[in-house]
Amino acid sequence: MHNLDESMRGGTCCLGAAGMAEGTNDATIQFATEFAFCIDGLTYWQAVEDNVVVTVCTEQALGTTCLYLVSTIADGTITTTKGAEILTADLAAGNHVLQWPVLPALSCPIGKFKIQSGDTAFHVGVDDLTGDLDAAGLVYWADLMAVPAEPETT
Amino acid sequence: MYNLDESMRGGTCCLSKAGLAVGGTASIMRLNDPTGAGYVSFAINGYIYTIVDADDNVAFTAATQAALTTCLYTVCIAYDGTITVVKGDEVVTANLTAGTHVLNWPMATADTCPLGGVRVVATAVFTPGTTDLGTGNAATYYDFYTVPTEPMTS
Repeated sequence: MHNLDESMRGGTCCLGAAGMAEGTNDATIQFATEFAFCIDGLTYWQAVEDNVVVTVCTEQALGTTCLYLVSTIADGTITTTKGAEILTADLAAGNHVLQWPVLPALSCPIGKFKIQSGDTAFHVGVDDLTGDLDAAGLVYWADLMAVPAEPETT
Repeated sequence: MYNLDESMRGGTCCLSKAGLAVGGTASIMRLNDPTGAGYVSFAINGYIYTIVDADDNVAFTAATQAALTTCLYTVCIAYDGTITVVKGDEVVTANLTAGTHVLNWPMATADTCPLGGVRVVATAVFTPGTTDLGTGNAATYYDFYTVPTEPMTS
């Protein structure tokens, strides 16, 4: 028996790449590509959208790296969930890994961004995703079908 | 172990939002891809197929539904594009409202992919394929990734 051969019912996943990137306005993100997503077996659709408001998360300390999970519910309400921040030096040394945040109930994961704060703290939902990162700061983007099972090690 | 972590094989699901809606002929339905691409992608047993949008391309053939009942219908497609409708168990609408009964989505037929579903609340006898959708009844359309697992309770 293969793992998808039994009758497939329900299911929550993103069916297309959202093209997540920084939005035009400060502290926002955008979906550069329209995509379909499903929650508990029902399919919905998200149009291309710029200036998507990001949830104001707790401030991320300087010198840390953190995963932020972007998800949607059926009506298109977007939520950003912050993971546990860890010291970037510990990540680089292999002493710690980045665990994925817990997906909110009845939500579909769309993508992630990962912030490596530099020499200043960073406040997702308040600070601009590139403009307010200092020279040592970095942001990484990825689109998701589902929340990856494995933590990130870099 | 997460259920999609092993090598994925097989699988039957709809990969796009089908845009199920009433057709130009009011007793028939149609697929109407909201992206404007003009087709819907779906998978059956691991193979991917497409069906092109067309007006009135979902013939509504099923047994008659009694007046004052509510019923769920699942729309299925075979690899060759043949679209069929499976009728669920109709429930007296008053019982649904009272919370004594629930509505279950009917399963897709063998070797077909569920594209979507329609919920018909009939105030008069509803004859699929003959009675206009929205006349003497209220029709609500859903797009599927797979058949939802949870029943409707209202």
